[in-house]
Amino acid sequence: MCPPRYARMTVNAVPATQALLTKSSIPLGLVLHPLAQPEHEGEHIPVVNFGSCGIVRCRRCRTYVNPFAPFIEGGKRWRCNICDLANEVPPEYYCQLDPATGLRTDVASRPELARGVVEFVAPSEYMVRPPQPAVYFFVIDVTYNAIATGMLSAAIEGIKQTLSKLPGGSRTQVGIITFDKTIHFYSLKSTQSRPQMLVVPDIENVFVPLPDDLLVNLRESRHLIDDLLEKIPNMFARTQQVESAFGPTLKAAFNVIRHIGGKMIIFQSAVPKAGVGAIVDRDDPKLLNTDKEAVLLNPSDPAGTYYKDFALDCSRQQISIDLFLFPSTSFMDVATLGTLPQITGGELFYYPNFNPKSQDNERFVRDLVHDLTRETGFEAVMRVRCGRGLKVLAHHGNFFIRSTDLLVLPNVDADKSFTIQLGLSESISGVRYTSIQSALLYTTSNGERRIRVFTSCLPVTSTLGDMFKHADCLAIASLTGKMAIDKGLSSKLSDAREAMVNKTVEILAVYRESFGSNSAGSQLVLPESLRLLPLYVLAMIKNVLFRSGTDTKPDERAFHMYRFKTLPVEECIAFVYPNLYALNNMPPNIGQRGEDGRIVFPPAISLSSEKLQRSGIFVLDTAFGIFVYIARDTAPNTIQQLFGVSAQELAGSTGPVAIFDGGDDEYARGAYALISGLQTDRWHKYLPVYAIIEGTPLDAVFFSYFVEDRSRNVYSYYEFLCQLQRSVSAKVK
Amino acid sequence: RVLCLAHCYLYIPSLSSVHFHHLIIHIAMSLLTLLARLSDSQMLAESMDNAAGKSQDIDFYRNQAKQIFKTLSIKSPSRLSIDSGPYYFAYLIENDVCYLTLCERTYPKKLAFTFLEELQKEFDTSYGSEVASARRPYAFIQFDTFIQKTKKAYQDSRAQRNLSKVSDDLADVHRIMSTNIQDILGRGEKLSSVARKSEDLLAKSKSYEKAALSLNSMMFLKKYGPFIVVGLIVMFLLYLRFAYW
Repeated sequence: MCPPRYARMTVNAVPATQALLTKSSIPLGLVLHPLAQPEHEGEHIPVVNFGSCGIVRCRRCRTYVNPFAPFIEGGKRWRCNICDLANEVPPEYYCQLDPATGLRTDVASRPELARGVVEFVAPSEYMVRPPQPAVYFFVIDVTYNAIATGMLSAAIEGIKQTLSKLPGGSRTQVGIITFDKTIHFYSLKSTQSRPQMLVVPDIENVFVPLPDDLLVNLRESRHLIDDLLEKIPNMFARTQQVESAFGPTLKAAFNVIRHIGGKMIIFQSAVPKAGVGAIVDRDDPKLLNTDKEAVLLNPSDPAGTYYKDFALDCSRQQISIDLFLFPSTSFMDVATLGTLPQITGGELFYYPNFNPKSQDNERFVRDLVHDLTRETGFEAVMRVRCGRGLKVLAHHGNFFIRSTDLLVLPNVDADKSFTIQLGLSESISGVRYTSIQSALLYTTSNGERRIRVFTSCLPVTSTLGDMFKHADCLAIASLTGKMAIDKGLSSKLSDAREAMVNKTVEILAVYRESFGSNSAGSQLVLPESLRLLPLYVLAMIKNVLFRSGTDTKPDERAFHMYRFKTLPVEECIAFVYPNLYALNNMPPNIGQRGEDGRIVFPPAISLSSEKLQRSGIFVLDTAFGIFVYIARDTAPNTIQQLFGVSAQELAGSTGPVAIFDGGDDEYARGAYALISGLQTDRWHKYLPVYAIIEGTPLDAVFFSYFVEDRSRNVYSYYEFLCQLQRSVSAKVK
Repeated sequence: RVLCLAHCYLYIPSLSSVHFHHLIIHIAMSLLTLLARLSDSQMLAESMDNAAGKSQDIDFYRNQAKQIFKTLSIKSPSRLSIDSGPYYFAYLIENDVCYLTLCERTYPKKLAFTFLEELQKEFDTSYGSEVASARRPYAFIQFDTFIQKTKKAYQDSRAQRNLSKVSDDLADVHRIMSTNIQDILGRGEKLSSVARKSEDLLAKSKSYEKAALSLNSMMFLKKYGPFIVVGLIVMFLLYLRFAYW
């Protein structure tokens, strides 16, 4: 079986007929997280080199040989578990079968026949060009806005910190472009003594002034790049330029790196107004909480079409775009700009109200370092092959689809997941098992071409009971959320919320009809495996993604929608139903490593404000940020030791804050250990820490996550369950 | 002033990009360099010129290069130049590694072979001992940085200096054979193009058949469709009448 961290089904059994699938109402899908970090230090994916024999694949459907494809006829042929074709075994690959088990005798020494996840070394037929080097091209806004928000100095600082850590060894290439109303190129030829700046003022006909030396080898030109980074902040410190020629600059950057591809990392502060791709200010607060709100969440035209076409061009040249946005005014049209990372397999980062004096700076720098140094695959493509009975219906995530089922990923990294909606292509009542195989062909940052293959074998069932027994509540909730985002964007947010609730009612009604007929009419019968589904659906309805009301700005919502589509299952759930930890009465080893090497976390408590107490620290982990809630009667020394400042100073901060190791206060030490443990062990990245003192205005954000409470216009958990029970009863009658 | 040297503005409001290219003096150069293991044609390293990467034909010549590798063996001449269209391939074999580069016709052969010799010396020193055990394609792809650097050195005005240096080292360049790509690849190429053409034909005739069939059925529907529908309605009405009788 493939470990679920890489490939996770919403139901670990496949319905035999369409009728069964429709009746159960459970969404069928697969969540792929191809470059997920291994859980333990020692765990790694085995790498197989087939050498001269070549990778063994099915002749008809091109499935890779895997543990679930049986070898027949004494080992001379193997039967593809996707299309049932009996394939010849190449002579170099032949091995006898063990008469007792029917398996090849060399299974133990062949990981591709024993493990659900395996990686193959790709021979040259899998490359259209030699493996590309790691390329990082920085595009930096240097308008007045960029200086005033502190973006420019933070970006330069971030790049400086990353330079030594960039993967790719001696082949890594780097380049920089800055822009305001004009575009500034920098020649970094290693034989020069200084970097040279070339300004191109014509943004109507953009061209590249030099054929070479704008993208250079990092090691050879390091001294020039360092020099340039020192100079850039001073060069533009007193700029009065406010117009941003973002669209034309994209074209210029594209022309510099199109021959090789790689990552384009853009830092943007001013709203693009000059040249092609100008953003129209279409923000209209009157649209909030109406049916038309979804318009602001979708890309606008004509800028939207320009960016979409541009992103497609980038995808063809294996360029991915990471976009860091630092809006100073309210509206930046994230929905339109977000198509750039979405189509090219990049990532969108959004820092509204960026305050460089707060920990925002640290947070951004850490995000940048993480973005550039996490495990990354270049020039990648991915394909899912379904066995008997299954077919792919839709995909969610950041990619471009070519020829219906090939995901083009100029860049894929450790944080990206892809959710595939599945359906039934035919009835498979006579079949006992079916398989799904996903394959990612990519180039590592060290220039090795690899194919990572995930194969799962699933039992086929004809009973409703089995489907419920094998249902994976978290995966179902995350898929439901992603499908609801699509619904919200194509019609309206209220439809999305309704759709999620209706889906829950359908599932519960079916369950009740089939298994709950003995219970009293007033009881809500929940399947054991899905008992938390209503809770997660309620959490999603109240989450920034879907919540009604006029408080949520469209830019923020659009950002979270783009982000949510790429999250793996645990992060989806942590974002809608965060983990809350009460640090009162913690055992002393919280935050330390236990015997198995993993950090010990306290049990999470439910998100109901009844659970809060008068004194003490509560830590809320959303996988996007960590909120530390300090109850009113908490000892001042604890606050001082943990945050380095007094409670009054903390109350004035709006951005993230720094934490310290707790010194002499046991409580603070525990809190620090817990928070660091969450960052290093659970999410493998830095999360900003926000301090919330009880009674200050900021605690509204904290309490917005308390989904079990009654909020302004949506039910409490208990009320929601009652409402569900009424709907289910009405449906069952 | 922070950037003291050449804070230069390219003031070109009226010039289009075409004009700009005319400002560059065209220097003949090497466009593509590949290293492969002689014994099994396994690719070891490769480097492509930026400008070459933007042209369409470069893939065609890359394929030719790979085919050339396949024809090489221990018995092949250790140095050879192969003309192909407006370019030529120059290769050098040493220690089971073949160093191949594609150059424009006007690029001096002396320089091409000195360039290859320099690559060979560096590669042999850095990676020579690992060549036999390399198990994946492009195992030494990181060598492309050195290839690029060396290629640039052979491209600018110092090429003149190199030439005079070279005439001492490589006095026997005249003895390096020169041949044509057709002689090397000859029949093999023709066969593969014929195979490709017949596959194309097969595919096209299949799709023609499909199109013809669908056109036929569309015509049929167009002609008879309304009649069939009317006929069905009439029959249905008649049936109702008789059923109620």
